[in-house]
Parts: sequence; structure tokens; C-alpha cells
Amino acid sequence: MRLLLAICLTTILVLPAHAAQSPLATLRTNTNIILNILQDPQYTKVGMKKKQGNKLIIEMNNMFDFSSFARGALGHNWKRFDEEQKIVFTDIFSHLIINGYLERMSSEALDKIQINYLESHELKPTKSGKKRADVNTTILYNDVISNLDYRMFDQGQGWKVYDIKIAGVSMVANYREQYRQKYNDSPNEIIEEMKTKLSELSQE
Amino acid sequence: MKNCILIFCLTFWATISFAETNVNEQIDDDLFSDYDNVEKGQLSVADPLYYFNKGIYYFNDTFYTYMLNPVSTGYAKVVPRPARQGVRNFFYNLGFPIRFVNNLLQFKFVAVAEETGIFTFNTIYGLGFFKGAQKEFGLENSDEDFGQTLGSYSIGEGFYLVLPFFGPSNLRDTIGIAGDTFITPFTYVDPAWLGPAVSAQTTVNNTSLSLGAYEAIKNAAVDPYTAMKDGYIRIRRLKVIE
Repeated sequence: MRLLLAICLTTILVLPAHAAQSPLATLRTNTNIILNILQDPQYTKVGMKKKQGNKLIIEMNNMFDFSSFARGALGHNWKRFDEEQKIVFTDIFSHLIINGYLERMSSEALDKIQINYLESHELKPTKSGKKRADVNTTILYNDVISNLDYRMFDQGQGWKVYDIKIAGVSMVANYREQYRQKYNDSPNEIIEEMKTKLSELSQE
Repeated sequence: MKNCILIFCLTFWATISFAETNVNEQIDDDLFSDYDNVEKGQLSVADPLYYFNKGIYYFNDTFYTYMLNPVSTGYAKVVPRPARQGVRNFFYNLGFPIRFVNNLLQFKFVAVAEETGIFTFNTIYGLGFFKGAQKEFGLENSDEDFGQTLGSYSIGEGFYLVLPFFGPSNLRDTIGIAGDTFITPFTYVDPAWLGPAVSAQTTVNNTSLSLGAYEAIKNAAVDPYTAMKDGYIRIRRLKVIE
């Protein structure tokens, strides 16, 4: 009996709650959570901005896989970074992406944005067995429709975004081209440059 | 004996850790295997006028920051959003000859018919201020220009160029802009100063509807010049393929 109970409990704990969620459904759920936090009136009160920011960072980390994002952005440069530099870079890079995303979302009239989740296509899985998918969405704002496509993967722990295509332009590929031009810069110089940029942005 | 066990354990642990690191590296490489063309520079374009282009880039950036952005922000405060959307639609509707001719030159006859239908409907019902045909009948505009037409004839993009006020371009698209001016109604307005005045007004109006977009690209980039160059090249290549 104990054994049966143990097997049942283990099955419940091991089976992920998101097992049935498609990439499109996961994206919709995560985006709605973020939009709800951004629109939640309790955060308009004085002193609540930091709390809102912290909550958003947690949710954005659920939605994105920033370590893959950062690794893809650096491309071949990734191999020049040691383990500590990789961790520092990923952290700063994720802050840069989160800042940009939130700055953009906060400046828009969110209630007037209409997001349409069109479809998702499964891509060829990676050799290591990660499932991959593209989810196509459109955003209608100001009478203009923009295409936003999310590239996601699932390694058995739920779907996470690791690239976004804005009007067909991949963010990872765009960053990769920027870092390709910086092949003469040392990893520490790249990290310092990003730290400076981030502190300049926070002062604005 | 204890030392032997310790050494064995350490070696075993090190082997496992090394194997794990290699697996992780492999997983990550695997995830981005279709991005390698960026690394090989296959998607970049020649930039022989780099210093000139960068100078113009800074000029445009300064112009945007200290002139276009403040004027557009002020304009947005004075003119209500629906009116600005109407003005944008009106001038977009007047750009019909460019879309019509370039779709025709690319033998896109369905798009030619759609463009004609949209222009006729929107001009009659609302003088072009509203996107009636798109909303009522689900018709879509096909934003073709002469740069794309040349691209569809397999004419290469040449080298990268940054144009004053216009921003990122390339040799082919610069010729395309010149070609399109011949079929733009504003080229033939009288008095002659009215054409540039209308262009300036359209730019301010459209910028007022996308305030913050330029800053978002610039702030998120580690090298804004390269980010905008790469973004422009990719968008244009996609448009030529479409």
C-alpha cells in the first residue's frame, strides 16, 4: 500500500502540470499574466513600482529562457567567455531584454492593443531531443498590424521562448550580427560596455 | 587505499562533470544550428562607405532626438489620435500610384486589382481618411516600391548606404527611391515647395503615431548602427522574396 501511494505521489510530482499545454497556449497564458501585471491598478500606487518590476521579472523568466537567448546572441563568441563571464553576461543581457520589453509595453496604451495568436508550427527537434515550435502572432495597434513570431523549445519542463522575430527579423540573429562585429573586444570589455549601457538606461 | 578511493571518486566526478558540460554545449549548439549563416557573414552586406554612413547615422540620430521627436511629441499632444490616423491613411492612400505601378512591374495582378479596389473604395467613401476597404472586405495592401521591383528582377542590393533624413538604405533602394519620386503625386504639385512641406508633415504625423519605437530599438541594441543596418537588410530581403 505504501509502495502504491509512493508511486502515485511520485507520478503526480514528476509529471509536469504544463504537460498538456501547447506552445501557443503557453505563450498566451504567459503573455496574459504579464499584461495583467502591467495593467493591475494596485501597482499605480506610490512605492509599488518596484514590487511590480520584481513580479514582472519573475514572470518574464518563466516565459523566456534567457540563458539560451544570451548564448544564441553571442554565437561563436560564447566560447571565448569563461563560466563566470557567461553567467554575468546572461544576467546583464536578460536585464537589457526585460528593460526593453517593459519600456515598450509600458509606453503603449495596453487596453488598445489587440494580440491575435494565429498558429504554431512544429519545427524539427534538435539532435539532443528538444522539441521546437514557432508561434505566429499579430499585434493590432494604432490601426497598424505588426507580425511577431516567437520561437520556443521544450525540454520536458514546459515551452519557453528563446527568440522573437519582429516583422520577420530575428532578435537573436540581429544581436549575433552585432556581436560578430565585436570579435576584437575581450569578454570583459563586452560585459563592461553592457553594464555601462544598462546603468545609462536606468538613469534616463 | 583511502587515497586510491578518493582519487577514483574525484576522477569519476570530473569525468561526469566534463561529460555534462560537453552535453550542455552540444545542446546549446544544437538549438542554434540554423543561425550559423549569420556567423559566416552570409547575411551582411558590404559597407565600403562605413565612416560616411556612420556620420550620416549620427546626423539622423541628432535630427530625430532634437527636432523630429520633440515636434512629433508636441503635435501628438495637440492633434487627437483619430485625426492623426486619418491623416496617415489619407497620405498613404495617395501613395497608390507607387504601389499600383510596382505591383504591375512585378506581374502581381491580384495585388494590382486589390490596390485599385482599396484606392477606389476608400477615396469615394471617406476621401482616403479611413481604411474602409481593408476592414469591410478584408483586402490587404501590397507595399511594393521600385527598390523591390529591381530586387525581383534579380538586381543585387549593392552596398549599404545611410541617407540623410531617410535613414538606412542600399544602392539599389536609393535608385528605387529616385524612381518612385517620378510616380509620386507630390512631385508634380504647384508651387514646388508644397511637395517637401507635405513630406515633412507626413513624417511628423507618422512619427507621432510610433513615438518611442526608435528609442526602443536604440536602447535594446549593443551597437545601434549595426542593429539598424542588419534589421534593414533583413526586412528588405524578406520584402523582395514576398
